[in-house]
Amino acid sequence: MSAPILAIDGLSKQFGGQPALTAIDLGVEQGEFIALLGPSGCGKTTLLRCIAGFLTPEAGTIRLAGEDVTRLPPYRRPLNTVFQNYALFPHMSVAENVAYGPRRQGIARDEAARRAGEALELVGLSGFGERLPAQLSGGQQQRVALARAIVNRPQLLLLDEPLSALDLKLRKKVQSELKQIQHRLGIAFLFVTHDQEEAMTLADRIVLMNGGRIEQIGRGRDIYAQPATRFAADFIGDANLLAVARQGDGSCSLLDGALRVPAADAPPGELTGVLRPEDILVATGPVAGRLALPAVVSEIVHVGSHAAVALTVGDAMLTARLAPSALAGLGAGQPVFANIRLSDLRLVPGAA
Amino acid sequence: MSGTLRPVVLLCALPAAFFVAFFLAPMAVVLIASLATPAGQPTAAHYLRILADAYHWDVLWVTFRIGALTTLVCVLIGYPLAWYLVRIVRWRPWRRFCVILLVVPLFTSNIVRSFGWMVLLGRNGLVNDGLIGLGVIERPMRFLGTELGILIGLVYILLPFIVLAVGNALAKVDPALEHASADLGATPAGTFRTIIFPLSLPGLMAGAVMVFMLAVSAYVTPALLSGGRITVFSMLIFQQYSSVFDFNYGGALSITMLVLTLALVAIAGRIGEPRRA
Repeated sequence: MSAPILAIDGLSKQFGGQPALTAIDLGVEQGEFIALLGPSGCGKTTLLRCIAGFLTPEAGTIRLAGEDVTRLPPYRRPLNTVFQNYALFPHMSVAENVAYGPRRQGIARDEAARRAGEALELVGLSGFGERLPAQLSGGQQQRVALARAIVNRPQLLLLDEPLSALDLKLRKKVQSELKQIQHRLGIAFLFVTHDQEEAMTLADRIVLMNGGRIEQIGRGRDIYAQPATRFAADFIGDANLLAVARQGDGSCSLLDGALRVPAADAPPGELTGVLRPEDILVATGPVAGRLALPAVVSEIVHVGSHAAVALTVGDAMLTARLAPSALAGLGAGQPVFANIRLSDLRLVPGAA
Repeated sequence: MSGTLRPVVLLCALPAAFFVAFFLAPMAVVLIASLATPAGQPTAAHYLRILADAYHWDVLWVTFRIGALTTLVCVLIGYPLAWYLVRIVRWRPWRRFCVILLVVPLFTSNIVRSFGWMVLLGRNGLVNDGLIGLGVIERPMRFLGTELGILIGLVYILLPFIVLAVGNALAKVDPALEHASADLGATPAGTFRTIIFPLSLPGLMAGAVMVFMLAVSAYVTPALLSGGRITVFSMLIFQQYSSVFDFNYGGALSITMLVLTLALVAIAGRIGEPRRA
């Protein structure tokens, strides 16, 4: 594979002595769609600002297409950004906004206008060039911001929660458009979001961040299936997080001893057992090939496409996800069996 | 319907009455007087007299020249000062102190401050002593009774207006716009030229218009610092009202001044007008 378009090595950033980013390592390949995902305050926006050049890290390097840009000012970096609130220039028309980048690169007015027209066409806003940003809807402003950022054909585009100001329906629509445009242009997108569904939908790889560190990097479904940490298991999708007690013989006990698993290859330190709700089969009897745990139904919550069934196993709680058709004959207080497979259970570092 | 309309009418009537009583009516009185003989007969003679008299044109020229220069110097000093206060000062107590320093003189009388400048700008005043001490000049310079002296006094008194207007405009420029500009490849100077300055222009124009109007209509400062050697238009008007008691001619002078000032301001206002598509 060719050299990564973005290579971050050991990046650290502090704000007033408080670490905001700690030892970040990240590589982005050409044409990749990467989501920086995490709760607010996890450092994802700080990382984006370091890459764009608005913040200078205390340690580490940032390379763009092989060139060290760590100390370069933003205007010397060959990348562009779609800002959270678009940051369109209010005193310029849409066409002038989009032509701003080429003009600053010293491109002649006519050629800049032509490129701006092309970029606007790409985002479906031909004919809006003469308007002022204030005369556009939120969705249209978002597209102008995108057109303005891609008109220079950067090899890397940074997007700082660009869809957070749009309503849900529009967001879904813009998401798929964004993905199409990214495919057409073949440039790498680094997309900041706190919405795990958005990250799962759009990204080739997700960079999951927490507390200024990267928790896990991987394809969304891989992180879901094989979370590396307790945080990753909890943040991506729903999970039953079970307390793990290490036994003297090296095995682990979960659910007050109802479950015992060998833990020879488990990481050291405190562990959490992760069991996805859809991996639990609730039935009135044991299911062949599975481990049957006696349980009592405590509550059934209907969520439309499925139902969440809360179970009590001993003193512990488990949540199972069932299709509505599988609910027949189930009711609160009913003794059932939670049928699980030990292969679905993952032990990850971190206390439950 | 009328039950909900009546309070609205009453609410509007109060400020409207205030406006009529204190702004429209006095203006109308002056305007009518300017178009009448002392006996009350309608006439345009006062205006013809102003237009025909070269002395009035000279005084108008001096007045507007001082006004324009005052505005220019206020802009040249005020914009960087506002920039310093809004963009460079990070320590809030110091910024607050600077703003107080700027605003407090507005609470003291023009007369007191202009007298202060008379003392400072005199033959043996602080300014001359300082310039001689620094070796810039050998003999005391004449400030009092020159346009330079009036200019210094007016700039000092009117500077806060432009600093406040520009500072307000600069503070409103979203920092994200500067980031976006830098992100698109603009140098800091380019960002200032294409983004920040155009966005602060309405504030700058508002401040400049205010300074120009106040400078052109100023009476106390030019009167005290002119030493009787320079006459500005407001002094002519004052003479007509206070010494000659020719209210009709004084009115015509006032209206002439008003119309010319508004015309200039209207022309200037076009420059700072926000764009419409």
